[in-house]
Amino acid sequence: MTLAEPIGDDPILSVRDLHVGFDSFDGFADVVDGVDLSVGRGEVVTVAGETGCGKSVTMKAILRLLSEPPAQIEGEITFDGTELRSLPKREFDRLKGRRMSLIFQDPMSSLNPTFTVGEQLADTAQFGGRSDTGVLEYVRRRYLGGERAEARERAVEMLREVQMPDPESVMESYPTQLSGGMRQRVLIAQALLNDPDLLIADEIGTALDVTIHDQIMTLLEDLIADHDLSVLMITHNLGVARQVSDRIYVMYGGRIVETAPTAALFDAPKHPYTQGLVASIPRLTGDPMAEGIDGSVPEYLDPPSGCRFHPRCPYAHEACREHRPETIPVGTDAGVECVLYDDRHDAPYDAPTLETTRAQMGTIADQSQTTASELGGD
Amino acid sequence: MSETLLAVDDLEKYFPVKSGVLKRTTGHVKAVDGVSFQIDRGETMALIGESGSGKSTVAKTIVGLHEATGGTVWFDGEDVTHPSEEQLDEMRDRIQMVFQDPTSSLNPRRTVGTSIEVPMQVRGVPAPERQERISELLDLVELNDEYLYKYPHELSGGQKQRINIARAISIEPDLLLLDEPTSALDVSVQAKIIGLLEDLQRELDLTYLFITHDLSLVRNFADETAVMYLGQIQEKGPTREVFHRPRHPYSRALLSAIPVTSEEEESYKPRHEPLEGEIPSPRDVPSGCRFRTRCPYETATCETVEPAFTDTDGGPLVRCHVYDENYADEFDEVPDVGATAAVDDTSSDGGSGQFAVTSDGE
Amino acid sequence: MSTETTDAGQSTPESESLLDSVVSQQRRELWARAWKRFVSRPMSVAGLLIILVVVVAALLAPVVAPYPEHAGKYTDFAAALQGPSLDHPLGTDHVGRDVLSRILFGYRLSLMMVGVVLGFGVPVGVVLGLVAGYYGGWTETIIMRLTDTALALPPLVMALAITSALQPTLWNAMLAIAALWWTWHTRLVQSIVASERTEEYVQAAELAGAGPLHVMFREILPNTLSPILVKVTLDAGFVILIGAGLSFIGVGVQPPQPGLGTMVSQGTNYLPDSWWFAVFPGLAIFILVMGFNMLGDGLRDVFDVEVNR
Repeated sequence: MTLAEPIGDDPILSVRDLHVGFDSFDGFADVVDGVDLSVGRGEVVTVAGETGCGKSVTMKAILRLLSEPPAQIEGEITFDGTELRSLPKREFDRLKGRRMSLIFQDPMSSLNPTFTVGEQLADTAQFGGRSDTGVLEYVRRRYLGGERAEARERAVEMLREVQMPDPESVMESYPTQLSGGMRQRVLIAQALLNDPDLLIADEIGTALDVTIHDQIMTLLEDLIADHDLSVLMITHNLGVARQVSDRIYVMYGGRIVETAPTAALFDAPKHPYTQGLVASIPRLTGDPMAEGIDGSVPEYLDPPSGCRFHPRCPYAHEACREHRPETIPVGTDAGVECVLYDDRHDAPYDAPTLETTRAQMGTIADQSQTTASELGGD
Repeated sequence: MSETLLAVDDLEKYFPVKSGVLKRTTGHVKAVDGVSFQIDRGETMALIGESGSGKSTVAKTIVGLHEATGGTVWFDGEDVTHPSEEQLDEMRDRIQMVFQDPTSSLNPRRTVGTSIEVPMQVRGVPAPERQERISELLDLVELNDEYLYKYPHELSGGQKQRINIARAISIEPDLLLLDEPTSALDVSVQAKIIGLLEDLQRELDLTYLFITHDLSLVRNFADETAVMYLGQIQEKGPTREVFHRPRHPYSRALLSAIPVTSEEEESYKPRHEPLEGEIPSPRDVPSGCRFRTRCPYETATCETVEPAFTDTDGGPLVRCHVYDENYADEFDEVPDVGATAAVDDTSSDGGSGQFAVTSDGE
Repeated sequence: MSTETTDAGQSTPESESLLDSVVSQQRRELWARAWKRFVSRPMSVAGLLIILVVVVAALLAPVVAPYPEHAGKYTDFAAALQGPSLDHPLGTDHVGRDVLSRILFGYRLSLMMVGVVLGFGVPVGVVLGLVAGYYGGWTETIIMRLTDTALALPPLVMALAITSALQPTLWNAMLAIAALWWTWHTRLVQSIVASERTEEYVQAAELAGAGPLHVMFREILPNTLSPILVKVTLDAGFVILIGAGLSFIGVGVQPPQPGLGTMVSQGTNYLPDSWWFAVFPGLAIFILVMGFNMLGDGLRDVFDVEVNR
């Protein structure tokens, strides 16, 4: 079941057979079911999936943001050779503040509204990953000597780097006085202040307007290149994933169903779910858009047997209901969890292409044409 | 010749800004500032804009949830800007709206059945008839009677939006205002809802005003597209024209900013020109051309003179000083072989591609 | 629209009955879930049990009380101030009446007071709150200023004033408290309505052509019910306490009627020797108030989960 992982022997982050479940009032919800993923050094990797696919839970499990219980986490998470699950909290916090940075989805709630941007950035610069700083040492470094001034200088520099207009006055502003785009820039600056190796970004800029989002993504691309960052990004927007990432994992029902280098994933998606998803995206070309995927996402309290996508899959057959499909490697850097690609099974279908799936789903006919034919028909 | 169902002429909606102890009006948010367009029966018009563009306010002003500050709204030949009681009743019969958030637009304490029932109940449709009609409606939105007694929290986003649509069409309106009906949904569900809306339009002869920030969604769905910025329409015309050859710098920036999923689509986007800065506050609209503060083409005239709608080359109407015959080359055309053919199609189509230039308020 | 859809749909009798069973099963499940969540908290169940037992006992007081005649003017000085025994499980008072019997009848008066105060205060408060929250503007300003003014008067002081101006009877005390109690509900409902008012489902109902009455009572009111119910439960405890307090200082239930507060007040004269006379009525008040509070907390949890799910 383990995927022949595409990245050499030395990924900066690797997740093996991650399981996350929650004990809830209605029973046990099996939300992440055996996820393997890795981020190579200098690689930008995206986990893409729709609402409720388990991508955020995966990220939170990696960052230890889930409280146990109710969460039950199993699996192995390795960051730069260090096993994270068994790491003491203090050491993990140090790692999280210095070498791993995260940018949250909501730029407003991630900043404290009662402190100025400058204070918060300087704190991050001075004390990021140093939650164990003693009171005396804190006071000394915070108020005495030139360290604070240095930290503030670094913060201003960082703001300049994220192309913040008028960084000096932004330092003195409170988060509520900034626009959504500026807050997002502050968060990016904050994440990069301590020069991390790995950046984890959750739905970055999703709440922003198209043109602002565009600015932020362009900026992010530049920063990733300049700082030689490894990035694990989480998004529901495949277009965004395509824009920035080297490789994409597609998640469905708590499992990774397909991974491939970005170009390959969009040119020739293999898993029927990926195909359906790509086909559902409205296209600028004016080609008709596919009619979407039937059914809805699985209930985690009682997930479908075998392949979790089988109730919605147009190519499902008996084998899909019975066993969870194995991950079939495709070349050296891709894989797909689907029996249609398994040589050992006699699949009743040839592996479908994006086009066959698009045709299978049916398309929303181009409006002007339909209206014309309707008129003719009457 | 198709007939005009809805015409909006120089519509204005200002919200007073009050401050101080005495709650004196100290300024106005010009949410909608001189918007004109018209929709023919059975057509779909898309109103595109980012947050703060006033696109939703336009819809809410049309249905009377807000009172217009200025301008006129004509519905089926009647002036309904400040409707009388009877006019309001009639409008409610004929214009309905589907809201953006499928969750907050359903009463959490009402079952699906009773939610859909409200419009009919209010109009005194007898109970047995209502029951029958609700089943019919559920069928129409591709659900079934099993949903009758479910509460909204038991449904997925897509199902909730279907219920909202069922409620909106329960009294067979002519015009449906769709306020970002899919922006809260996942793409695979969004496609389903758009498909449903297209089917319903054909079956029930509906007219749509489709409000969205997602341009790629509009490409296939709308006959005409209007691009709004800070309370004003900057460009409007047949959808294909707007997409294949966006003329206004803002339309171009919007189109070029869409993340797409194939190389082919990349070639349909205009040259990438990231906009500077952010959208100004509608309280403080820039002088002259309101887009100039972010425009890569700004000239001296832009600051002083507000551009009027012009159809420089017989295509969409554009509010821009810079875009004219001489500058046309600056605005590289999207390298698409099918574009000219498509344009020819629409114009020879007769009727559907026409709109009145006279509605220009300046 | 043609009837084709219904013909093609599920209109045959068998499928309909099948569907009905599915539907009623869904409803049952919904209630079952709420009940399950409720009973999963021992505190709220205990609260409910206490209230049920007290209410039943109070209703059946003439039947279950060992000495129903002791509720009124009865004296038997020979039996005065006897400690708990088999004959008198909770002892007797200073004129020889059975304390248990008098507590059971005392509960009747307390519960009646709750009924009258809340029966008047809650509907008035809720309607005023709905109107203020829904219409806003001047209507709201007038109603809310009035509410604030009334809120500034403590119910106990108001009751004292009224009973001393009129007559120190239970009815006058209840009247005084009821006249102030609506304010809390007006505030509560107005704040909820003001935020619900902007929800899109309200706009949707208005667009559907629904009038203000429909929107207020059929759309918004159901969404305010759970906090109201929680508040009513907690209120009940409060009203009992205030009633007992008034009786204690002599302006509520008048002897020989068996008010719980009156009994505590009388019993304090015989402390500490005849402790049962004051302690058991006090305990009776405590248990009932506690029951209401526990139930109120439990209900709040059930509703919170249901809404936020």
